[in-house]
Amino acid sequence: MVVAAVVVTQLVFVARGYWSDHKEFAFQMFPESSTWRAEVVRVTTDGRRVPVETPWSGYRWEELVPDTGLSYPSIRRHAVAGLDNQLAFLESALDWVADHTPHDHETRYLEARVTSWHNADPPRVSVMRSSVRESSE
Amino acid sequence: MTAVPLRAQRSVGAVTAAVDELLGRPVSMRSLALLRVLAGPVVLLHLQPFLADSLDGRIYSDAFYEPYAGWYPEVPEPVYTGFLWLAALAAVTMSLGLLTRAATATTFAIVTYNLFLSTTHFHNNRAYLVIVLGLLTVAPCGRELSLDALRRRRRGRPQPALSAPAWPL
Repeated sequence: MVVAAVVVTQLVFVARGYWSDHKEFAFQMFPESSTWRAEVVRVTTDGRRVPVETPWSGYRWEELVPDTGLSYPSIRRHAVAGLDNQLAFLESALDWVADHTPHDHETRYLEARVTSWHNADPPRVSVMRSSVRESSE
Repeated sequence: MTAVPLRAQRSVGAVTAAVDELLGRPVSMRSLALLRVLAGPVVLLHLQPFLADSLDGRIYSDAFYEPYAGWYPEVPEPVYTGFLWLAALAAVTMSLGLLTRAATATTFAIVTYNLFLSTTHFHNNRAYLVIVLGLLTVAPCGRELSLDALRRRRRGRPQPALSAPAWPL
């Protein structure tokens, strides 16, 4: 019974991996060869677009987002555990940074212009935005 | 009942019995004992970045993280740090085979708790580590290659069987 439950649970995780962004326990023998890069900027209240590579208000992007392959987004790199996983992390990270930088009074929102290459497909460009920060309104 | 469904029912029963016999057959647990010994250092390597951050006064919530669910309990920083160091201690005693079952269960519980604190903690190798620790927790893997076994021998206590049902393997 225990063995059957484990096998069924694992199959559920594998099936879930086909529609979920993060594919926990959906082990895949051959990963995607997809790559991505993004220009992430802070859009300030006066309309300036400042790259996050430039420290601001005592914050550094690579210290705020040290994991999940997001520390240096402008460098093209492999999409860890697939593009869906990686870009979902980037989208969440934009919101997290927008919400956890209380000393920053000039940023209205963060924006990422993402270029992604799904396996050998042609590049695709998309734009992600964080929520608008309350402290800037 | 007609003959065909009856025959099908019997063959399903025969397959189930064969699988039960295969998974329940007693086999040596030495390979799992060896895995237990090796899993301790792997857990320490896995915990090393978390422990290093804790020494600098930083934990996961000081940088980008994303909880799986709002209801998942997040303990205060000192408790979280205490859990991490307890897991490191438990991993060492698990490898040594001292209070093996309790040490393995503690290691499994804390490593699993930490893994599911944030989506950013998840990697396939960590998931596999959790599966292995879960397996070691339920399997009798402390009966040999362990200080528990040595203590039992020295005190002249009877040795438990070194084989167990094969299903954990």
